[in-house]
Amino acid sequence: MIEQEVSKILDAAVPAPDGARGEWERVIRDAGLRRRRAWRLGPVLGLGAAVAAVAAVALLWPFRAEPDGVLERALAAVGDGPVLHVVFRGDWGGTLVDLETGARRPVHAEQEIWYDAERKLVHQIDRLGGAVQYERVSNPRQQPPELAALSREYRRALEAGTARVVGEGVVDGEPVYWLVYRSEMLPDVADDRLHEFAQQVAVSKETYKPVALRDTRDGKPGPSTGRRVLELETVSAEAADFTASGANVIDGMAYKEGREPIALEQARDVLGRRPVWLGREHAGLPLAEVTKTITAHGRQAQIELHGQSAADARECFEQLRPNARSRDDRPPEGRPEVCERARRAGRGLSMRDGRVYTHGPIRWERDRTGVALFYGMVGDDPSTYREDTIALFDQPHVSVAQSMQRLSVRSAPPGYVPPEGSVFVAAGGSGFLRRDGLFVSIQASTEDLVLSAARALEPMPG
Amino acid sequence: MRRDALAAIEGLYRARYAVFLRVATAICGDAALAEDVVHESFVRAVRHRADLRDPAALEPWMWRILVNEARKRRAAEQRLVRVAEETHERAATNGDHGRVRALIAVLPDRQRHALFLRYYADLDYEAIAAALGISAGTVAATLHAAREALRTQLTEVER
Repeated sequence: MIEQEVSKILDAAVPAPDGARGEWERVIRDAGLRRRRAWRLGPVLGLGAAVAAVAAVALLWPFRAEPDGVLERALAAVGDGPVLHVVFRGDWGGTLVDLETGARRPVHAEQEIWYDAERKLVHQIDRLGGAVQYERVSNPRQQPPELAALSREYRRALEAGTARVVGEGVVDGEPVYWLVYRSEMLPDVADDRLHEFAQQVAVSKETYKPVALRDTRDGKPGPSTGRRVLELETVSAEAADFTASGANVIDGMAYKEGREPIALEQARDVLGRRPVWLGREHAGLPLAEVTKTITAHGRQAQIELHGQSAADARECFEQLRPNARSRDDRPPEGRPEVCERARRAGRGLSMRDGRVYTHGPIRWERDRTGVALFYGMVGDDPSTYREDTIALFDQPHVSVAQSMQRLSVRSAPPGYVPPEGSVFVAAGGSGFLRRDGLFVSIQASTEDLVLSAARALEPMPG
Repeated sequence: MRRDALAAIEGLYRARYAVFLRVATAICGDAALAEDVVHESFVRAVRHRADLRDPAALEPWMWRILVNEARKRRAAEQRLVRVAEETHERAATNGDHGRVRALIAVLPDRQRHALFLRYYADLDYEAIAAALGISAGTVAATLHAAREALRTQLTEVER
C-alpha cells in the first residue's frame, strides 16, 4: 500500500514533462565539440556526395531515433566501389528563347566528376545542353577537400550514427529527408560569434540516394549554397572513366585575341561574306564602332620528363605536399636544392599518374577573323593619359560579334549551338545564336536588349 | 571510442531527456532551473566522454553527473527549503499539491534523490548506488527509510 501511496505522491509532486525533447545541438555547441573540418562548395570543382555502402549495417545503440531507419537506408543506397561518379547540375546554364514565339525553356549545365581517392585522380567534364564545354583529367597534389570529405565523411557519419535527420522537404518535386552529416562551430566575421556551420544532404524518400546538397548556418541554408545532384554512384576502378578526349580538354589550352578598328564598308571583306547588323541605330543606340577581331586557339605541349629531372620533381612535389610527414610523423626537413634543380628542368611542372610533365611550346591554329559592331557610346578611356576613344560598356549598349567560325566569337559557349530561330541567353545576360550561317554573340546592358537585337538582326545592305 | 561514446550519449539524451528533466525538476524544485541542469550535465558528459570506459555504465554515470549538478544548483538557489517552509505552513489551505511537495521537501537529500531515481527514472539499486555514490545495500535502506518517513508524515497530516 505504501508503495502506491508514495508513487501517487511523487506523480503529483512532479508530473511527467510530456513532449520535452531538449536541444541536442545546443549541447554539442556548448560542449565546444569540433567535428571534422567543415568544407564549402567550390565555385569551379563540383562537390560529390559519395556514399559507399556497407553491406550489413547494424544499429549501434538502441537509443537511435531516426525515423524509419533513414540513415541505414541512405548508407545502403549506393555501391561500395572506390571511385565516385557524380553528376551535378551546374549554375552556368541559361535559357533558350524562340525568336518568333518568345517561348522559353531552360538549357541546363551539368558537371560530371569521376574521383578516385586512392589514385588521387579527378576527371571533370562540364556540359551545356549536353555538349561538352570543358574537360580535364588532373592529379592534384592536394586532394580536393570537398570531394575527399564527401567520399568518406558522409559514409562514416551514416555508419557511426552521427548523421541526423533534421527535416523533410521537396527537391524538384521529389520528397526528401535532409540529413546533417558534418558540422563545426566557426566564428563569423559578421558578428564575431561562433555559429554552427553544417553540411546537409537531401536523400530521396524513395531511393534514399542523395539528390541535393546545401550548406547551413545555424540551421538556415546559405545563399547560393544549394547543388542539385542528378546522378550518384560508386564504381570499381575498372568501370571508371579517367580518359579525357575531344577538343575541349582544357589542359594546355591557349587562346589569344586582338582587335583593330575598321570602317563599316570593310566589314564584308573582313568577314568574307555579307555581315548581319542592326542598322545605323538600335533602340536609340547609334552604331559607334566597327572592329575586326582576330582570334587564335592553341595547345601547349606537355613534355614528359625522365631520369633525374623527373626524380627531382617528384621529391619536390612530396616536400610541397600539404601536411606532408616523414615516416616518423615529423614534418619533412626539405631539401630546397631538389626543388631548385626541378625548376631548372622545365617550366610549369605537373604530375599526373606518377608521371612528370613540363610545358612545351604552344602550337597555334590558324588565325580566325570576325567583325564586331558596337551600338552605344564611345568616349575617352580614363585609365590612360592619352586622349583615345573606346566603347563604353558601362553605359547602355549592344555589341554584336560575328564570324564564320564558332570559336572566333567571344563568349560563344564551346560545343553548344542553339537551333536556328532561337537565341541562347546565358546566365550572365549575353546571347548566342546562329543567323544565316554566321555564329553571332550579343552582349548588351539588359536581357531585353539582347532579345530585341537577336530579333532585329538582318543582312547588311550591299 | 570517443565517437561511439558521443553517439551513445546522444542516444541516451534523445531517449530519456524527459526522465532526466523530471528528476532534475524534483531535485531543484524549479522547471526552468532543471532544464539548465540537464543541459549542463550533458554538456559536461560530452566534454568528459573519454572518461567513460564502459559503455554499459553510461546511464548510471550520466545520472551521477546530473544529480551532482542538480544538488549544486539547488544549494545555490535554496529554493526548495523556502518552498517547504512556506507550503508546510499553508498545507491546510493550499490544497493537495503544496501538501505533497511539502511532504517530500522535508526528507533528507539522500532519501529524496533515491526516491526520484527509483520512481521517476526507474533505476535499479545498482544504478541508484552508482548515481549517488553509495552501496546498493545503502540504497535499499535509504528507500525504506524514505517510504517510512512519508508514511509517518501522511499519517500525521491526516490526523
